Amino acid sequence: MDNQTIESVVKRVKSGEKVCFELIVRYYQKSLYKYIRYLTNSSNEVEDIMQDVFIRVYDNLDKYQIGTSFNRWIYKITFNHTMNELKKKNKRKVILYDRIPDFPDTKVEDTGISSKTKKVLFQLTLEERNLLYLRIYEEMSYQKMSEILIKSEVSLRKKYERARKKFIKLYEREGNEDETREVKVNDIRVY
Amino acid sequence: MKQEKLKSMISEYINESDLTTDHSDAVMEKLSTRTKNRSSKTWYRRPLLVAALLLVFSVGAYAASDIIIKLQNGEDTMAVTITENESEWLKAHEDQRAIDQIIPSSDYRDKLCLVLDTADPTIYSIWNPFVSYDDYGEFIKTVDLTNCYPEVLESFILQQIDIAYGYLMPTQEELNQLASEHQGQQYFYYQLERQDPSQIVFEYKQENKENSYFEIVMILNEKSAVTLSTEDSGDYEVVELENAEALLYDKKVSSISYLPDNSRTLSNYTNDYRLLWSEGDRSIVIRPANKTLRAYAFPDDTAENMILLAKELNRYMNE
Repeated sequence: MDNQTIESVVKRVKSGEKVCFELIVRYYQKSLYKYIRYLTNSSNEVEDIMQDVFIRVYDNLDKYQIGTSFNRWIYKITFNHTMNELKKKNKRKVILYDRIPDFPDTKVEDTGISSKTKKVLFQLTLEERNLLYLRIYEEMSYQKMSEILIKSEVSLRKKYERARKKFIKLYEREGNEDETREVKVNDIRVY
Repeated sequence: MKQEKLKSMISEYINESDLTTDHSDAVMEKLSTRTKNRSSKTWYRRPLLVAALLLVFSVGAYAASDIIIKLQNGEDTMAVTITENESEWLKAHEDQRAIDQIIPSSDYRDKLCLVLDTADPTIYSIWNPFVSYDDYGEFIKTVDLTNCYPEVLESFILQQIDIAYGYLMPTQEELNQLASEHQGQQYFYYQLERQDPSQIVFEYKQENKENSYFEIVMILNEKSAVTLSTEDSGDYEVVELENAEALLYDKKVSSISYLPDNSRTLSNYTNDYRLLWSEGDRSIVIRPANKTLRAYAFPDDTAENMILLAKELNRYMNE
């Protein structure tokens, strides 16, 4: 569905055709599932979080401005809601300046290259992981990311560059000597 | 590591999992059975929360009920009041602040507001009607609290107030000097208190040569750094040491050590230090404690100029 089609569905939902919302759920559920699972590293809660996200989307449809990207809007809600769920899950008081931990039952199974990636990814902060997801997997521009994350493009660019370097650094530490050499040659410039 | 390789690795991990069940029925079922949740809260409560949050942070020292703060701006005096009830309400809902999106209403267009982002307590925006607007009209600065000490946030908010109302603007003499040197550009301030100005280290860093992305990293102390990007003058951010290290891991930065806990914060430092970053041209203005304000210009982003600037800043700070 392109944004125009989604908008027409949203308009119908807003006008009272609640059943049309099912189209939105069906269309987005797979991608949001992957996104939430990536952020949380937990298969247990992902589906519940995803359903709650759709509920929130429905509740807030009035706030969605026709003409803007629905895709970005729904990702923004998903990220924010997932972050809140992480906090609740850890049963910690929301202290303004705390870092947000992952689910406590996070375990990394050794299943090959992907597990190494996973292990490194979950040494990053949630924000850093999110930046890598949006920029690398979703291939979003900084401009689009800034609309989701409400940060300046420059700031996101900095943060992304740091997250990327941190990922590479941690990956190196995991013992991939070949990639370590590649990083030194291609990526790092020292002045 | 090439970008393609990075994408391949992350994509492989992400695509490892896939949704096998259709959840549309479950969602629709939930929608039809649940009761309306708190997201339907009337919107007009939110600006009150915005104002309350602003006051909680910016006048924390006077955190009592029924606070009235008056800010002077030319001939206009504005007052924002937080009542006891609102204060209690705010406290009671502290854990839920993340849930509501707060959008300043037109009623608050003449107020300085701290804006809480949708469901994201780590991001606050300062809504300041007296400073030049960005494309969105009101939101001029954002702070990521995950990388921010409380004192820094407070400083940031106060700084916004100061900018808006001119409390921290340079003296006329200084402005005249700046105007003569830099065509009278407006200057953003960043004020931090720190222990020893001579220990500030300026690092020049080029993140991405192809995209002309430059950065000066200023190590403030063992736990903080400030970065300035030449790409967008006026942009700066405070980062924790862990991230500062990430910035500098490929450079040799000496004598950085972790402190045992978070008890030591920027507010413990006593010496005044100011860094001004020009909006219009590319220059840095610096005023260490007990030293003369001095401006440095770098007309272009060449690596040579940036390195010279970093050296000069270091030299002056250590004079």
